[in-house]
Amino acid sequence: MRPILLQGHTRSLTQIKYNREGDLLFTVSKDKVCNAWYSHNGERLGTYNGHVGSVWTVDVNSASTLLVTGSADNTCKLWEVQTGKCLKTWEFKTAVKRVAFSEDDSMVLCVTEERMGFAGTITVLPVNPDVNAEQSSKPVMELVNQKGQSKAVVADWSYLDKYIISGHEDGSLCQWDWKNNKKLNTVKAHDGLISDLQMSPDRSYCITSSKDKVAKIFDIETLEEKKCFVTDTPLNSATLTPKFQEFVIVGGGQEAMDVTTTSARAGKFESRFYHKILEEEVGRVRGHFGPINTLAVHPDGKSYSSGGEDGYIRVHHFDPEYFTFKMEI
Amino acid sequence: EDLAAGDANAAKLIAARRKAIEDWYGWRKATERRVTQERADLGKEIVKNADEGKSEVIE
Repeated sequence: MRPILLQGHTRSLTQIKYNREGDLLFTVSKDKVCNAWYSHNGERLGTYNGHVGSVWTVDVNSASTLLVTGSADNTCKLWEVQTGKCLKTWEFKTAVKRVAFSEDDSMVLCVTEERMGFAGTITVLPVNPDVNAEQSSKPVMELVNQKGQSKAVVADWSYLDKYIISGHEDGSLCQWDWKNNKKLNTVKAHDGLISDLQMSPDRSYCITSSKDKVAKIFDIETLEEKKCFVTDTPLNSATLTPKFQEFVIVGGGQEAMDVTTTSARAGKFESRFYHKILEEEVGRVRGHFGPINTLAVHPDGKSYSSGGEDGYIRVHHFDPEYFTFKMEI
Repeated sequence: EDLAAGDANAAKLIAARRKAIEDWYGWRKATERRVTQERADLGKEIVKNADEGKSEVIE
């Protein structure tokens, strides 16, 4: 099937997220807005206006009632999904690079940038599910990056919100007993910045992508490396297919400023599919004119979306062959 | 001879793949069991995945 092109953003995409049912797709961009789309036809449902800087990150709660965004304007905003109303603005000293709702939807984590003498943090904020209620400004916990440590750039919650898992600029992956502000475990996951970290549906393992051109799967409990997917281009995103196939999809591409010839860039802006267990590449999907910044799979496993540096979002519905594909074993 | 070597390589690859599959599902099963138990202990069983049960109705 031909991909659906979602046109509405005027600058590069930074993150895309499906809601739990997968009928909605939320996209954020450097153009300062968040858009909501119907994922089956690409019709735009609405726009969340209010940020005054690039929006780096977005997440939606499991009831699809609340949306949270983090921006370069040093704020994190909570929105009512249905009306587009901004319910709360949390202010920080620096940009918010990543947000994520906890498994039970009662909190969001915000990864804040380290800059101008301000330490990077992973701040946990309480969220009241009632859209009419007052939202608290007081963090539940603040994990402050210690001097000399590499800052966190991505993070997410484990199953039961037992741990927060953070990915860092130097490629390390940390496991936090966040309730007690204690780092439990650190592993050197990658040789470069961890660009994305996504949880498995049951939040018991995660996939990371890195500028070191590799994506990996880690056990959340032990941080043991379970799988490794080697590519030839710096990766910006990695995601897991929840059903039908045991695949991972990775995407990235050399930034234009980092290459000297156009030929070196050819063919690097494709979504690559790997067999999750066998670690072998099984296919590629092209389309973007620039690096792929973000990837997400529909929770029903029948389609996926990619957001690019080119400002486009492409929604791909898998062909029948996808569902019947089998590796020889 | 080449053919025999090819067969041997193919067999080796298949065996390696089988082992990878076995290891993965072994790990998954153990992890799922542990997580389910932890959820039960806390009385926080997972809410069914959004489309589970629902997609049957639609189809």
